Amino acid sequence: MRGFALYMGHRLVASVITLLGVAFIVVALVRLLPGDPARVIAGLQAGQEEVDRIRATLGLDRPLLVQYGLFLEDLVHGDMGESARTNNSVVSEILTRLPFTLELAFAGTAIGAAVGILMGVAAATRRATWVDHLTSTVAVIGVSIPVYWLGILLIILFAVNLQWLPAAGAEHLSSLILPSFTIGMFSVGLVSRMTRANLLDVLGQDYVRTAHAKGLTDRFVIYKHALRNAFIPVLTVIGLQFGTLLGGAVLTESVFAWPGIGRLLVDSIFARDFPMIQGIVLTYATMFVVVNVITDLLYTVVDPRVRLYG
Amino acid sequence: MTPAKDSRNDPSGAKPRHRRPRRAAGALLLASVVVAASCTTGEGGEGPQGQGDNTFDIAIGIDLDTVDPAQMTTTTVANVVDYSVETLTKLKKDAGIGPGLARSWEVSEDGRTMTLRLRDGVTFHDGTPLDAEAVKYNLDRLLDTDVEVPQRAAYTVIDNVEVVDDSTVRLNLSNPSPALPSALSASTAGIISPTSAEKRGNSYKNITHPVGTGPYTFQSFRSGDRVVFQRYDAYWGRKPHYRRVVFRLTPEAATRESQLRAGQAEMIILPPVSDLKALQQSPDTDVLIAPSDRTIFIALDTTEPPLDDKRVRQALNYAVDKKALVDNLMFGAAKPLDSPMAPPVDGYCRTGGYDYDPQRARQLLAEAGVRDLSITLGTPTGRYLQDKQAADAISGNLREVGVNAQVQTTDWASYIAATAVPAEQQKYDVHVLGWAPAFLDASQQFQQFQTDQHPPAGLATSFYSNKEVDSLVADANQELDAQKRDRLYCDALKIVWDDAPWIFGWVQQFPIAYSSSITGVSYLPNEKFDAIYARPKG
Amino acid sequence: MSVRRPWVQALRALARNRAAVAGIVVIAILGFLVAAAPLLTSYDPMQQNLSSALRPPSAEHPLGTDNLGRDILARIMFGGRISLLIGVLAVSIAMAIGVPLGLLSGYFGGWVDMVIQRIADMMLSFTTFLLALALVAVLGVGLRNVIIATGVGVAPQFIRLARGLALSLREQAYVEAATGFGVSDLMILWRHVLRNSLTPLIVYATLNIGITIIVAAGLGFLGLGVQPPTPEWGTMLGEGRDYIFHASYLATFPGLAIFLAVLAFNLIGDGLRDALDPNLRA
Repeated sequence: MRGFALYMGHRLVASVITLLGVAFIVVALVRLLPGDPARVIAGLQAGQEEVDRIRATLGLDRPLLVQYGLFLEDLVHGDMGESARTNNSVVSEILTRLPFTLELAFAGTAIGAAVGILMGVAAATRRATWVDHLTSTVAVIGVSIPVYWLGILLIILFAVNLQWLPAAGAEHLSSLILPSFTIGMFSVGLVSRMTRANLLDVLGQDYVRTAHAKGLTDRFVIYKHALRNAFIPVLTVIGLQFGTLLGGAVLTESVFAWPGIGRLLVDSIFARDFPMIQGIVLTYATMFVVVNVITDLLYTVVDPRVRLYG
Repeated sequence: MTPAKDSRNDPSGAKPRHRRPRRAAGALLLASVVVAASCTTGEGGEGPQGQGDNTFDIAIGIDLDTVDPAQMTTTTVANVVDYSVETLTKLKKDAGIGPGLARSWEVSEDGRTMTLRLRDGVTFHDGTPLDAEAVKYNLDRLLDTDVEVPQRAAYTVIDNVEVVDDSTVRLNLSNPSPALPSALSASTAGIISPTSAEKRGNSYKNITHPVGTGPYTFQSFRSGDRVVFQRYDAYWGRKPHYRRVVFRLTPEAATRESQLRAGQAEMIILPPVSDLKALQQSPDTDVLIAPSDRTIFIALDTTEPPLDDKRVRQALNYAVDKKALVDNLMFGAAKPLDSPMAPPVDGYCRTGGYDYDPQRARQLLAEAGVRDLSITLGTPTGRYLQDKQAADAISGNLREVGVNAQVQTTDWASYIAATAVPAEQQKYDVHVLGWAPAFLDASQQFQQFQTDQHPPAGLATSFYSNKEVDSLVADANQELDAQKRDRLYCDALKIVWDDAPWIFGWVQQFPIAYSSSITGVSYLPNEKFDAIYARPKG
Repeated sequence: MSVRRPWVQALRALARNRAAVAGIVVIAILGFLVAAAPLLTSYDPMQQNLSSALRPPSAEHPLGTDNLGRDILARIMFGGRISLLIGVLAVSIAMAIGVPLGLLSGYFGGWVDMVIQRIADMMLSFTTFLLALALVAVLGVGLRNVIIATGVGVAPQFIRLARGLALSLREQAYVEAATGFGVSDLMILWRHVLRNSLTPLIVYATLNIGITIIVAAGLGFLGLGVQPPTPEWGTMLGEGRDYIFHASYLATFPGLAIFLAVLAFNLIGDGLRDALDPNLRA
């Protein structure tokens, strides 16, 4: 337990450093963006007086380090300021939209993990048969197709032509199917390739051969021993993929009019909504850190021999 | 499961629909049809009470930045809020100004006071009456510099607001303002219930739940997703057909078209322009291409040689084949400009046309002694209909008369930072810009041609300066005689047209596509749709 | 490991891998189309002709014409130069940033490792696409900035990979031996660690060319790609999406071009991995 506490302490310190760094980078980065946020927010017809007033309320006249300090001070109180574009609290806007992003990322990851592992196992256990070729082909297609293009094609097929599923929005459970399949496609490809490669690796190792020799059935060998051992790197990929889906679903969210924070971030970058950009990026970074820790912890569940603090 | 999912509940209290199996949804629909068929509803022509038939879904392209009338900067956002918030005067389809919450108004002889008489028996959605105090509250708020009002400039002529009696308001003006009735029709001057301004998450400085007097009550807005309205049955005017109106916020044009074709939206704005013809021809959909007030042009930096030579600027105008552009690139959703101002704007007069004439262009350039002219042509991407594509095509036109125009684009924020700046900081030699007057009055369009509106004071980015125009416009802006006023503006327009500070482009039209099973879809000439009285055909 | 002329063996193994051979063939064809574009088409990819806009594929225009009447085949061939250039250069930038940092981090460990890993974490937490998007927003659109942004976007992946390689190589006998002989750290890094990391790095780079092409195409989709009228696949796909219902060839062909190129790089990468280093895990 002491080792575990040490490990967690170490992780915590590293995480806090990462987050402070990200916060500083984003505070600095947004101020390097060309364009006057006050003018963008006020619109073309606004008078200069109004533009100046908005600029002053954004507090952009202060030194960078002061702005960073103020941002951190607010953060300690659970406050990320007000959106310059909407004048609403950044925290509440993020809380409204984050669940949708999480939902989509979970669904995409679930599809990626389930389909990907099944395909990978099928391919590895039937190596060099048509099953292997087929799944490998599907896998490489999955990682090669631009997702937003796939998304548009899926909308036309399933929403317009067949009329089976909603084209866009986030209303019914069925609204989730097309976007999650769209973003899950890449994960399917990645996970199945990883599963196949690792499983083949493990299947070639001595203890699996020994198990075979002891007369255990194929299926038992595969699931009990091989898969468990092959799973660790696969889990890493799934964890990383989940993180990528959180941030990488930007274009998918646009195509499917999905109200996640990825789209909000892009809108905010285009609108130069500094407080919102800062808030979202920091949210992403926090999720990234949490996902990493959870992935690590899951290693020990999948394979009790793994000791994080060994 | 998560907090946000609770808010997915319909305001009517129905269960979240996303967990319900399809079969159950079908059964419910069937049940509602049966119920509807078996009871006779009192209101004539009413459909079933279920959500299926009585909800009007409209897909629009942008997320709302605010629902506070005073903070409006975007026409489409204002268009949405208009469903529940009304104004004192109203813009009519023919671009005239008619009565709104004020049933009449008069302007004093000297033009220094405007007295408005309010409609009787109008109540806000929270039940409070619309009276003179409420109007005063709203106009005072509009003028209060503690509140962020980007388009305040149009109202600063109001010195103070006087409550004469319960239903009469007097505005005392610092100088005559013939444009004020028009300004009061803008959504910025929308009237909300004063008592609501501190409730339901609202604050004096930021309204997030507008409570107006309109035909629909605002129910909810979920960022990036949708805005929901419910019919207000105590509305003072004609009652609309649909019980619910849902605006779906769908950024991609192709996705909006998919929603329309799949029957998930009854109406969409700005479908992909290349599909207008097909949508028009399809038996399932209809298209309305509404006239609008937005002029699209290429601002020429008139301070920079050789663009300071009028002949060069005219040459560029002759070089561009506006008609081919409008036909092939806009698919009819634009009309070439024949004046520096769009026809719906009050004060418009036709001034002529620079018909496509590359020969003439070459000749004028030669006269001006210009050869091998190389310029940069800035354009935004996706801000206006086919903007980048049009800039690309225009550079092709210019190349044919020996002008090498290199197109450069960037995102909108960077773009205005590169263009809405003083002459010496301009990033491009010439740039594409669209201008929609804040309200349909010539004074608003002339901001593009007045010396005192050069950046950074305003956004007259061609730095055009003509003393004659300046004085004509200054006179017209305060002229109370409508005919005289029109004549002054028209004279100024003719001078501007001849001086050619822009490559005069086109008036962008406003395409709306809707299901052919509905009728009653209309428009207002300021890039707004008017679908409040939409209903099923038959 | 490095004694048995691995490249000769690898090439043989690669030649036996049908998928990899298919990938090489596709890239060879694309490369030829792109390099020989001026000889293969008489159309200027920038030449507009509004009166012949939006023509479906025909003998005259095998892939049709776009909204400005430009020949799509010509634009795809010339656009390939830009897209492939983005892929190759962006990965080069990512390697130039990521490999030295990763090797230093893994080799020295300690506070060097700590600092570099936190930097990598920060970059990773933006995710590749958003990092590239943010950088393009700051730098401005245009070919050069797209390449830089995309390259920096994938750089942290190379930091991670190179660090892992350095960590394992550090323990190898010959490195320890070299240290014992008083060879300087930098020399060891250069002579032994980097050289022995080349194989997996090359495999990973090949796989990442596909990713950078997709990331750059995504920027183009958002209108943050190269400047007009330069043809580039992602921007073409992005602009074609509004024509998807009635002139789908505007989006389909650039979409297919991206797909084929990325697919080919993935197949080659997979093949190289199997051939060079079966134990490598990307």
